[in-house]
Amino acid sequence: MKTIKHILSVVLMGITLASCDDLFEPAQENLKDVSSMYGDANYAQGILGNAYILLPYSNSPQTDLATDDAVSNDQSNSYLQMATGAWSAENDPTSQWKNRLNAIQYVNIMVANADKVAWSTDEGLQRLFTDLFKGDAYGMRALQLFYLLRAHAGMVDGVSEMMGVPILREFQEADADFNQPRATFRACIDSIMVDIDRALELLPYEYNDISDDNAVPAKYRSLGISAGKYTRAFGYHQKGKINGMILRALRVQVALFAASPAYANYSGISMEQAARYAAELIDTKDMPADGYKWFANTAEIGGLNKGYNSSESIWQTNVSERHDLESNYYPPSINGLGRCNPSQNLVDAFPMSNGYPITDSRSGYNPQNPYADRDGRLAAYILYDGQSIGSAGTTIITGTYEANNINGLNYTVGYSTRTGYYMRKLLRPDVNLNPSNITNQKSYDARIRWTEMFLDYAEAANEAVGPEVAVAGSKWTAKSVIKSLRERAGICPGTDDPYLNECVQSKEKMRELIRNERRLELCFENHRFYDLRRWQVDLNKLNETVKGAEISAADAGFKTIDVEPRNYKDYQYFAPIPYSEILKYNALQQNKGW
Amino acid sequence: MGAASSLRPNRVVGFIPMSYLDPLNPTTSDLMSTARLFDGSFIGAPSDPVESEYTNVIANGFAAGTSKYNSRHFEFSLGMNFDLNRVLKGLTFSTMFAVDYATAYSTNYTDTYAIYIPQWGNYNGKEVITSLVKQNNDEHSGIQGVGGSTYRQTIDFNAHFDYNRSFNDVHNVSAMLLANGYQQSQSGEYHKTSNVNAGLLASYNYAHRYYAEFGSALLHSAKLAEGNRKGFSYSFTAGWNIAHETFLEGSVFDDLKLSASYSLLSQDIDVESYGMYAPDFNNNHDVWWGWGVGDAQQATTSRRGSNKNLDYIKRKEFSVTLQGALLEKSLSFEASYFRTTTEGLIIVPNNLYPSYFSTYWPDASFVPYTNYNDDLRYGFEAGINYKKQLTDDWMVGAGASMTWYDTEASKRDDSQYADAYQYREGTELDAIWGYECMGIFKSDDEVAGAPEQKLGETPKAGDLRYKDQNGDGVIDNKDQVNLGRGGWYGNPLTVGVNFTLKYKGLSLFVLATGGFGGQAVKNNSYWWIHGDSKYSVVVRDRAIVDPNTHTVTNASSAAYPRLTTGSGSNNFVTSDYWLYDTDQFNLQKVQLTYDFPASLFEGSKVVKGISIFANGSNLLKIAKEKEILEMNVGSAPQNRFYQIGASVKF
Repeated sequence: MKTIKHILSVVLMGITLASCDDLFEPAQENLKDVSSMYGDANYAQGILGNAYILLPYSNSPQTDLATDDAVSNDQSNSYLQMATGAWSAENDPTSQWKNRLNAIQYVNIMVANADKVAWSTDEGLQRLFTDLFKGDAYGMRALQLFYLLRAHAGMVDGVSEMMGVPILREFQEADADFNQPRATFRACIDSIMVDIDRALELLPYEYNDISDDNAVPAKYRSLGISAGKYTRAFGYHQKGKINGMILRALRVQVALFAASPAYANYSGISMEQAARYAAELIDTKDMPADGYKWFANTAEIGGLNKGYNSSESIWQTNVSERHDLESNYYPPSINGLGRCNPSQNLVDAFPMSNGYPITDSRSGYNPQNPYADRDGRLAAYILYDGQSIGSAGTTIITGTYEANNINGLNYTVGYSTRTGYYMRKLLRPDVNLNPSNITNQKSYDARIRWTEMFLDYAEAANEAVGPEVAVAGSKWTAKSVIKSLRERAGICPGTDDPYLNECVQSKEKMRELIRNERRLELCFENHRFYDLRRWQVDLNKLNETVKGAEISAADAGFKTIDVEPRNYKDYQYFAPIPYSEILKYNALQQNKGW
Repeated sequence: MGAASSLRPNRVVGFIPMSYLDPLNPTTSDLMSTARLFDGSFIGAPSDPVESEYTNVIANGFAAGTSKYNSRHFEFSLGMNFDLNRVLKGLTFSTMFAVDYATAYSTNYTDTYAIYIPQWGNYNGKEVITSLVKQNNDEHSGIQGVGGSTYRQTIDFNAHFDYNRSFNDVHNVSAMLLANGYQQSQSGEYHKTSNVNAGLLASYNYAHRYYAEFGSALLHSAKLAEGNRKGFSYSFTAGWNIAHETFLEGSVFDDLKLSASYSLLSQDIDVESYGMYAPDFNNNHDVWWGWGVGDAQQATTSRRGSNKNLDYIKRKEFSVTLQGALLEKSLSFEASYFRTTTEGLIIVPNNLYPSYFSTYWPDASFVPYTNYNDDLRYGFEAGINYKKQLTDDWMVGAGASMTWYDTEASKRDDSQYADAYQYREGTELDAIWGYECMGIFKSDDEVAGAPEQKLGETPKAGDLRYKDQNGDGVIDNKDQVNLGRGGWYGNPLTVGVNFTLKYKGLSLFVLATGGFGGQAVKNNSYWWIHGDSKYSVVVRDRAIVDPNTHTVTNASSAAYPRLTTGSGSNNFVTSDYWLYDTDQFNLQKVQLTYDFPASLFEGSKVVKGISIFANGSNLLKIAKEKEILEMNVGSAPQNRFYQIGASVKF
């Protein structure tokens, strides 16, 4: 009996041990999973935050460095390497596979669960917030899928349809079947358009506070939702998130892309549709004055309030004080790295101020005085020999005629220009990078600009109905858009533009002019790489050698030099699916040639 | 600790005697009137010190304050044994409960001290200090600092029933049933190290001829997901004592045993933390986002996916052993083969999931921890011993043993490697990965003509040149290859021999061991020297670069890259240039003993016996790289050890 008592006491000791954490059950930890979103609105909203962090926009030239517009002076730049022959499915700096699909993963969580989250205890607010976040999620999914599609669509062996990308509609857990085939290009475009429509139904054109109950949209007014509640969900404090205006702009981008020569046969989208979508937007606007130099409109930038767009922006970031772009792109003598060197090819694309291209005998172009009487955008976008920049207004000599001049052509590898030009676009002209006294300036990143919408309209309208006809009763024609774009850049302001008048005689000639205007207006904003491909320009145009200017004496001695070849193969109009994914998933078909 | 490996001796001035002061300079003696003196000396410094030299390791020991370390330890254990013969013959029960509590902290006073920067001059052929500058002040802190506070608590509980009995003298049975719980909590660690299991051990032998033993344990681990917390381990051993068989009676074998065992052990030691099976999807990962009006807030980001099937790591061991003795047990031998596989080591297998399951920025991933990697270790051991009393006076003994050991990473996720020569699967676990060195660049022209080396510093003449394994024109980590075995888990081949000779009371014992097949990298501060490091003798053989022609002038004899004021990052990476063999044969111990004959002490009341001995350890190393192998850098030196002594029994 005594023995048993002892045993019992020992067992009791064992039980005290058993009650300890980590022995049989792990101690409590703050590990959350997706279900946490139902009761925690902050947590839920943060899921969508990933799609915003992973937005596909860049504030500096990337793909442009792999076109005829510019080269990098950094030999290790991945776009430089890609353009000169290193582009492969294993080594693809243009790949969007990782980040776009990752963002779609998060977005899909919100699409599936926005209804179940307790956004508010108030019934009306619950409805409003559900619509807001659901609309946001649909919009983000359309946006991310579009950029994924643009980067990876292409023809595959044995299929007559063009193939797009896998369309993920549900969040994939770790045990999901990842071996998913690519959807057709058309199915991807349809899916993007459906998501845009869903989002447009749910989101307002812009986020603004309202005070009049009658201004509440009818679908909410019938539920008895007041202006105050509406403002809480859709008011000013949502500015900067995706809205109806941005979605319409996205729809224009998608439609123009899908109706372009490379894709028109496979998309079911026509240029007329693209033009209609664009007209819907630009009919609300006049051509923004000075929109072409939005980055240097210092007075306007200085006065921009949080959340508000500049007159040129459809979507932009907030203004912040910084100098990071200038550090990368200012010339080396004023402490920049001179990373982007615009090409002679691009410089030659700017017309004279009389509107004629420099190759035209009527232009008055003097090859030994090449920067005189040019389109105003040349001096705004490109820092050429003898121009000045920086807080001290330093004169930058890119020629080889000065001794010990780090700004001079090929003076120091990795710092000096390789083309005789530095980039001026996107930069504030008045930043001081001297390490002892760095001064920041206010600037913002433009994500979508009105000018792009005008150019999209001009391109689509010219293709659909010709240069001088308006689409669907629009107040704009291709001609009137191009006229006002050129006027604001200083080409024949207030008078006839004889070269434009000549171009509108034929759709083909007008097409060339519109494409050239697009090249100038949107240079260094990562458009041209994909524009060249959707236009299916000739392979020798894609591989046009990048040229530069060697200036051996002040105001004289101009000589064009070859700087960097372009080495694209005939299948490289379309980019590859990442090699690692092709290896893992046999349902994924690689694009032709890769 | 280890300061001697990096501090340059000419930059450390510990103490300077007062006698070095110029007696005619009144300012120095004024300064000295308030100086803190240590045995007539003051704390000095180099004449051109940088700020970090305002203190030095020698003066720290005298003037930087005091520290007192307190450590307390409490142990409690209680054990009980019960004889349960009344219930079942041969049954006992034992239990033990222990608590162990340790706490430690240190208290300190941190003082600052003044140093005096001397300027040296020469008067009448004698070096004297002409002036002194004082830096810092002698300050005693009145505030006691407390730090390094730690505690550790261990609770251990176990209980077991034992059963031992023989039936009919031939059936020998024993069994044990055991329960065990263990938990250790430590300061600064939220989760406790815990272990709980139940085990059963049973063994049986028939007349000591056939043996069988079975062991098993039921484990529980809270580190795994619910439903997966139970684990099972078992082992099985069978033995056959062949010498006891009738057909071997009268043979040369005095003893011959064959045994084999197999075990499967489940372990959670390599499940590094709790909750690894659960997703980590949270808005506290410091991933920030905002929109126009919305100020920065944390995004809800996944760091890890969920894997409810995360399981114990399985260790499977198999071995066969043959043991025997013959020639009246004067010759004995043993040979065994062993093979161990560890299966399901946990990794984050990024390459098994779509690339979009993780992003670099933000640092996020949906990939779960997964049991994936397998390791294999196998080898062969053999030993033989001979011992014979030749005559009444002479006895001789000798033995030799060897172990051959190999390892293999038998399953790895290698999809990150583009080239097959980089695959880890199929290579040794102790493989050294690095670049294949093609010698020293002889000129800048040679650098320009070679594949671009992207290892940090741009190479110049006198730097190391590496082989472009994949032919892509660039040297980067894709060009690293398997250079050899590090022998970190034991040398591929180890041998040992011993020898004993006895004559009457005099005996000689010699032991020698050897290890072969391993390699190591000269990668410590003695070899990798740049900028203001401490320079060792190895740089004397450096490549000398002519500054005008940018060529190496001693290309044929250079045995070290050029010196650099930069980081040397092109040269100081693992490559076969720095590799050396660790093959060695060591005379571990020699001992000579003399026991005075017992007859001397018969009748002695005080002294019962005397023996005297002389021995030495680590006496001799035979190796190609003997110098490196006998050198320690940054730690106490190796030593040879000699001893003579006597032992007296009272």
